[in-house]
Amino acid sequence: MRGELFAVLTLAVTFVAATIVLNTPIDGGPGVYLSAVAIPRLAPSPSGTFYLLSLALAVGTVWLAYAVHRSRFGTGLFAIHDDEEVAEVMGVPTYRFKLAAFALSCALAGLAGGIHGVFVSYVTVAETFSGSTALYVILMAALGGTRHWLGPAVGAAAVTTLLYAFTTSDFAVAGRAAVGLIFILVILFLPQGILGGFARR
Amino acid sequence: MSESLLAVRNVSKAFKGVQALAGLEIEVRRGEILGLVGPNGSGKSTLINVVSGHYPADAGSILFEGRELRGVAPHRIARAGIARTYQIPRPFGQLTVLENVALPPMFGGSRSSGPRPNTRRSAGSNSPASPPRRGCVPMP
Repeated sequence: MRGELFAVLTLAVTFVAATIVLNTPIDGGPGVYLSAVAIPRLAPSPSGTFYLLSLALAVGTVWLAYAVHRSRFGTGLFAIHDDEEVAEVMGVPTYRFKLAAFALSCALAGLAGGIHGVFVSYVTVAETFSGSTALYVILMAALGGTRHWLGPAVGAAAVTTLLYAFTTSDFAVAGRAAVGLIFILVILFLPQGILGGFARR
Repeated sequence: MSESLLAVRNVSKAFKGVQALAGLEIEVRRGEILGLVGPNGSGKSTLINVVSGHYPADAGSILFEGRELRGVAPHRIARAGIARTYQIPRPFGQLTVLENVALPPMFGGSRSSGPRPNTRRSAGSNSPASPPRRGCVPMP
């Protein structure tokens, strides 16, 4: 399974998972309180702890992106992106590399979700499996640039800043509309992302 | 004389109803430079694609250094020492030129054949001492 079909299918899996969780005792209907989960005391206040945890994860993720980018694994992934058939014939184990990339991405998303879940302390199906979560992540990567190791981090900072700037004002809906508009503009006029102009390495 | 490096035995490949290769036999010996000659659609590219593992063969056997390649994943075939190019070049568009050149030995470089060649070195130093036999095989 490749390309657009794979992308659509991974998005669809979200809704399948949401339906399963909603109809089984995992969720129990209204949602799950996580306030009973003990928060490690890394800082004087809980919010400080969350900040430190998130910061560590962010730094770790960027470091990992840099390491992958510089590695043989990263070169193979970029080759797969350009031409998967040729990459395979040139000796890149495409299936194994794609599986590893998928697993790595899922692990990072899972870690981020773990911190986020305890942070909001109350998780519902609608919030957890909302399509916009997946969409924001793709937008962050596309906006920053998917071929530079720092690209997604730059995109994440930009999108998050933008969303919070609107959330704190009276135009939360306008913020979402702006994000959608930016997504379209980026795809049309900046397909390489903000860091796309910077040469690789 | 020199040993057989690649032996294609009774290989067939059909695309739906079109029989591209039917009972093909080819042998390539070590140091040999062999050309495939034939009109459009005679199966030259199909043979290359079958040997490199891009297309699975329907029947027959492909032996490289005595090892069966049929049914082996293309990246393992490349690692075994089979390298191929494309008639219409298919470079990795977003990789640098150096990366394009360095990628095949980085992934396909055979592990068993000693140290990997330095990709920055110019070609030509690996040519065999005696001039290889050159030949042509007409495609049916």
